[in-house]
Amino acid sequence: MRRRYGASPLHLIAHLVLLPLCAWALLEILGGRSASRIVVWLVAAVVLHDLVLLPLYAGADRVLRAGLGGAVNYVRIPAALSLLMLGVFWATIAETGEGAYRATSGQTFDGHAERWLLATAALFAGSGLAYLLRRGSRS
Amino acid sequence: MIPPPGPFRPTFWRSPLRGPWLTSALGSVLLVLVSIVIVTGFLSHVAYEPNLRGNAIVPAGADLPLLFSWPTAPTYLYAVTQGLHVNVGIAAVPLLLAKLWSVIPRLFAFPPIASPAHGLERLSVALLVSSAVFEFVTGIMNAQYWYAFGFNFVVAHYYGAVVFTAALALHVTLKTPVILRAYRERGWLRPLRDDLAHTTPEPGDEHGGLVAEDPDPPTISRRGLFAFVGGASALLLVANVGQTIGGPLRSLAFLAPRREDFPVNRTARRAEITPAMVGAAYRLRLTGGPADVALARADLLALPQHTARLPIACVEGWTTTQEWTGVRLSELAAAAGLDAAAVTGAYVRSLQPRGVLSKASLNGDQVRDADSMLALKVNGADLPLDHGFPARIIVPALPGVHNTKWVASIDFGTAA
Repeated sequence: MRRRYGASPLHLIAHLVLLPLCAWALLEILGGRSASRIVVWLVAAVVLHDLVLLPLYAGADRVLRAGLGGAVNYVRIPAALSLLMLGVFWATIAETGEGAYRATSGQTFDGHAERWLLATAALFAGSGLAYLLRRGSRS
Repeated sequence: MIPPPGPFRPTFWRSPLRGPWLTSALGSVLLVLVSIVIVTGFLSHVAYEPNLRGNAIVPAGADLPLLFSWPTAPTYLYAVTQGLHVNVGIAAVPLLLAKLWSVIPRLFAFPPIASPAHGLERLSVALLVSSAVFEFVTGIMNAQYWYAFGFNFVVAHYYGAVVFTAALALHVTLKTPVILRAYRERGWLRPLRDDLAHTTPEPGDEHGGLVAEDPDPPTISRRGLFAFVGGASALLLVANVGQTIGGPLRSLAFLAPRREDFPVNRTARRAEITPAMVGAAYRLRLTGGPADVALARADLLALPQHTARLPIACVEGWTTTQEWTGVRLSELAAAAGLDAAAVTGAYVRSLQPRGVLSKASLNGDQVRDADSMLALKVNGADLPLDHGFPARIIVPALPGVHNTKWVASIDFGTAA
């Protein structure tokens, strides 16, 4: 079994228990409305993360490391935190969610982009301060 | 077989931090967080009571048989479960990204499928990563009103969660021996003791392909990476959690969509409620009793009034707590000629002419709870039109949108 299948029988049994559950949920999606859009989003999710987002940030990190050497953390950490906020709160910062929000609730997203920029400035200010303190303690 | 150049070659991957211990440690923390998100997510499905008339969004009977009658106590129950779902979900994003980064070399394993077992496992991992990213992206977009999906969010998020949960259970089952071995060989926390100068690659893992063959010098220690990821989680949490907790924290939630103290989920205008519908001609219809009853707002104000301070908690993760005054639902059941103890539920319709949430059913306990009411006032003043004037449902621990606004009729159900 191990030689032909490549793992223990338990490995196969675990798949045979849980993959049918996945298949059931996927079949419910395929049998429901907008099935093709949901499938496109599911495929795009893994492709965009693994083959676009990750290579992009890893490549940017490589450029930063080459340019900054030992000081790289003082730039990449605040930069990563800022971009993470931008990504997670994109709909309020870039106001892509504002149309539906205004139509539903009568409100607008106010100042999110400004507060994100201020938070970014604060992160880099903290980072710069930490860099100066470390350099000062070394010299 | 010699792998093609690029990421398929083991020497392509240079981080000295990657290895079974790092992935196990990141995965263990992530597992705790996503377990909270999964449980509270399915609890939210339960809280919507999809088996009652008019409540199902995921087609009735096509969901997992995991339903129970949602309780009314504690009053902040749904605020807590849904607040955890949204906020822990947001805080888990950096861990998910770090975990996926830690295993990316395995995407380019060569040969791509070494055995039937390997092929099956790669299929399950593809389902896991795909459903994980899908669930996080759609959930976060929905909580911020970015409805760019072109599909029904609730349905897709529910079935996506089933795929995610099953694929995760499978992954954890298969990886437990690998995780335990990593902890046994390298200690639970020992690699976190090393500062940057002492950060070295993990001892080789002959099957894993995670430890770099030709590593670069480290630029951050493992504990530095954990502080980085944990700090990112904390930052995202601070940016959002105030809309759930309320009070002075609300203004601290600097990127959250809901920053006002008493948010309006849906305006009267959006719901197509006109002044004529809520004017002098307004009558609340009570059905299900021996004879139908119609009550004007003045009639409702003449009934015994009850006041309670109760939260409204939205599926989007925000909460607001206000002081509501109105007529107990059990009192209305009596007004309809029914013994409240015999009521098994109530089907509430709004004046709102259309929309998924123009109607909602309550279970028997929710009708009978001493704090459940048809609210006429909030904080001592008449309900504002946008908050449901002339009358709205307020039930403890009920998902926000089931507290129907602009109530037109209540149809009480009895067992007989």
